[in-house]
Amino acid sequence: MSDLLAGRAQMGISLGFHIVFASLGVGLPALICMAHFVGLKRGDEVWMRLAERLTRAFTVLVVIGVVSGIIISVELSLLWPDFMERAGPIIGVPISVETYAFFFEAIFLALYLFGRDRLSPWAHWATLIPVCLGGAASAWIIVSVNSWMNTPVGFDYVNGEFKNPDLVQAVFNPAMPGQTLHMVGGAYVATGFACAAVYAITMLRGRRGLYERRGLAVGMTLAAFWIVPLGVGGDLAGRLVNENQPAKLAAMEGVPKTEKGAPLTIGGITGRDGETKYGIEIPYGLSLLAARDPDAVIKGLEEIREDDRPPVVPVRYAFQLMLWIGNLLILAVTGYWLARWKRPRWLEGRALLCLIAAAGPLSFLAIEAGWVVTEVGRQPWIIYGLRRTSQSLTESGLVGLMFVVFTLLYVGMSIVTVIALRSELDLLPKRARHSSSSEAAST
Amino acid sequence: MEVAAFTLVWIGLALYALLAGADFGVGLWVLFASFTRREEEIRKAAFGYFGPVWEVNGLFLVFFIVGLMAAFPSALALLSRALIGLVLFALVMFVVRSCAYALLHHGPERYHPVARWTFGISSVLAGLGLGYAAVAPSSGFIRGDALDPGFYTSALALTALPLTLMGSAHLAAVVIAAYAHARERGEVATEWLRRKALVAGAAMLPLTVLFTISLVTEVDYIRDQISSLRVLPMVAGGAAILLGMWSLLRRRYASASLLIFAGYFAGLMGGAFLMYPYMVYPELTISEGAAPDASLLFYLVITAVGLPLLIAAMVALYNMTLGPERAQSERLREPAEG
Repeated sequence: MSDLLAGRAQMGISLGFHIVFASLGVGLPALICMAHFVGLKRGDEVWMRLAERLTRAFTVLVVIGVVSGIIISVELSLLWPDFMERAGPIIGVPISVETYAFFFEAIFLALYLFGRDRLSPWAHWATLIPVCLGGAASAWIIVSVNSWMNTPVGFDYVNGEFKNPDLVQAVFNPAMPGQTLHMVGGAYVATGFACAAVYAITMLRGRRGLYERRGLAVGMTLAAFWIVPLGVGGDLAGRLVNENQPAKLAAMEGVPKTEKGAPLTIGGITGRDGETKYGIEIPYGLSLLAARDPDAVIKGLEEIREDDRPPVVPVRYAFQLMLWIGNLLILAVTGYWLARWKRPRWLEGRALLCLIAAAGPLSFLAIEAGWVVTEVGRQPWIIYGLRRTSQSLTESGLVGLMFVVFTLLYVGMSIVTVIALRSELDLLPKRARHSSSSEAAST
Repeated sequence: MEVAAFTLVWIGLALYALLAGADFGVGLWVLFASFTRREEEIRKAAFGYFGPVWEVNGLFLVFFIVGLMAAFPSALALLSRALIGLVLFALVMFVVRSCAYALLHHGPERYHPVARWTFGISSVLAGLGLGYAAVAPSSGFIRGDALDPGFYTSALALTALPLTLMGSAHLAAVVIAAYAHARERGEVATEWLRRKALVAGAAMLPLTVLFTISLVTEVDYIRDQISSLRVLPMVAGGAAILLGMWSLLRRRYASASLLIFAGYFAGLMGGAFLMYPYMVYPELTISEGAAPDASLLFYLVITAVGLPLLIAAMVALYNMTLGPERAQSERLREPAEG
C-alpha cells in the first residue's frame, strides 16, 4: 500500500467512524430535548424515562465522539501539514468558531448530565438548548469548510499560495448551502430513525407498551420533520455539483460522454469509464434534475483529463446506494404517519416495524455513502482544481504505521462503544419492561 | 496583531496543560490508590471530579491546534512535521485512556480492574508524551522541519519528564482534595490527597531547579534571557504556588486550588514570554509564522467574543462540580421513579 493510499484510507476510516458519532451528537440532543420537554410540561413519567434513557446512550456516544473528534483534529495536521499550512488562514477561522460551538455543547451537556441534582427542573431542561444549537452549529461550520474544499473561493491564488483571504466569501462558498442543509438534515433524520429503530425492534420482540410507542413516535417525529429539508438540500447540492464540479457529477451519474438532454440512469453496472449497462434510463432526467432544463448539456468524463478524474466506480455505487436508501426512508416515514393517521393496524403488524427497524442502520449507511461521494468524488484534489491530495501528504515515514495503529484503535473504540452501550442500556429495560407491563395491565 | 493572537493561542495551550495535566494526574492517583487500603474512597473522589470536566478540558487541545491553524499555520505545519512521533504516541495513549474511562464509567464491572490499570498507565504515558512534545519547540533541537534525535536523551528532555509527571500529580491531588472536601466525599480521601499534594509540591522545587539548569545550559537563547525581567512572570508563578501550598497546609482548599493553578498558569505564560519572539527556536518567529492580517483579525474578533463566554460557562461548570450538592428531593421530582 502506498503512503498516499494509507493516508487517504486512514482519513476515510477516521471520518467514517466520527461521522456516526457526530450525526448522533447533532440529533440526540434534539430528541432528548423533545422528550424531556413533554415530560416536564405534562408531568409525565414515561416521557421523562425516555429522555433519561436517551441521555444514557448519549453519554456513552459523547465520550467516544469527543475522542474521535480530537483524533481528527490532530490527525489532519499530522497527515496533511501542507494542506493545513496553505489553507489554514482560510479554514482555520471558521474551524475556531466551530471549536467554541463544540465547547459550549460539551459544557452544557456536562451541566445537563451532572446538574440534575443542582438545578431547577426547567433550568436543567434549558441546558439542553445550547447543546442542540452547538451541535447544529458545529455541523454547519464543519460542512461549510468541507464545501470550501469542493468549491474553493475567497482568496487570490498566486504561485501555489492562497493570498488575500476573504473569509466571509470562503465560508459562504457556492457549495455551502446545499451541502450543509443536506448533512444537518441527514444527521437529524438518521438519529430519528436510529431511535425509532431501537423501539421498533423492541416492539417486534413483543413489548408494546406506552414507553416503546413513544420512543418510536419521538424518533419518527424528528425524521419526518427533517426529511423534506434533507431532500431539498440533496437536490440543491446536486445542482451545485453540476455547476462547480462536473467531474464529480459525471462520476456520480455515470456520464461517459458529454450530452445534451442527458438521461438519468437508475441502477445498472458501471465501469471505470462511466459506461453503465443494464440501468433504467429516464430520458432528459439528468439534465432536468441537475440544471432544471431538459436540454441542458451535461459534461461527460471524456472531457476531463484522465489524471483529473475521480474513481468512478465507488462514487457511482455510493451515490446509488444513498439514493435507494433515501427512497426507503421516505417510504418508512410516510408509512408510519399514514398508520398514525388512518391505518393504526399497520403499527400492530410486523411489516412497517421491520421497515423502520431496517431504516435505522440504513440511514447511517446512507450518510457514509454520501461522504464517499463527496470525498472520493473530489479526488485527486484536496482543494478542488488547485491542490492535489498527493501534494499535501506528510513526508514522514510513519504514515503506514499510523494507518495500522489507528485502524486497530478504531476497532477497539467500536468494541468499547458496543460494550458500554449494552451495559448502560441494559440497566433500564427491566424498569421499562416492568412499567410497560403494568401499563398494559392497567389499560 | 500577531502578538495578541499568539498570546491567545498560548493561553489555550497553558489552559490545556493545566486542566488536562490535572486529568492525567488523576490517572496517576487512581493507579497509586490501588496500593492503599482506601482505594475505593480515593477513586470515587478522583472520578467524581474527573467525570464532568475531562471532555471539556480535552477540548483545549483542539482550541490550541485550531488557533495555530487559523493564526500560525506555518507553525502548525512545522510542529506537525517535527513532532509527529511524539504527538502520535500521546494521541494513542489519550485514546486508550478515554476507552478505559468509558469502560470504567459505563461498562460492566468485570472489566473494571483492567480498565482501571489501563486508565492509570495510559494517563501517565499520555502526559509524558505531551510533556516531551511541549518542551521540544524551545529546545533548539527542531532543525529544518525535523526533530534531532539527540533531543530524546538531552538533559532538557530528561528533566522535563519528571517535572511533567510531578506537576500533573500535584495539580490533580490539589484539585481532587478540594473537590472531595467541598462535596464531602470522605475526610480520609481529602486528607490523603492533601498530603500527597504537599509532597508532590515539595518535589516540584528541586525538579524545577534541575529543569532550569538544563534549560540554561542547553539553550543559548534562554541563557541570554534568564537574567532579564522576562523571568518575572515565572517568579510570580512560583510565589503563587508557594502561597497555595501554605493554604493547603492550613486546609484552605479553595484558595489553595486557585493559587496553585494561577501559579502554574503564570509559569506557563512566562515560558512564552521568555521565548519571545520565537515560536519554534531557532526556526520560526511569531511574525514569520503568522497568517495574513485578515485571518488574524477574524481570529482575534472571534476569540474576543467567544473566550469570555467560554470562561463564564467553564466557571459555571466548575462551580457546579466543585460546589455543594443540594437535596434533589426538595426541588426536583425524580422522573425515573415517579
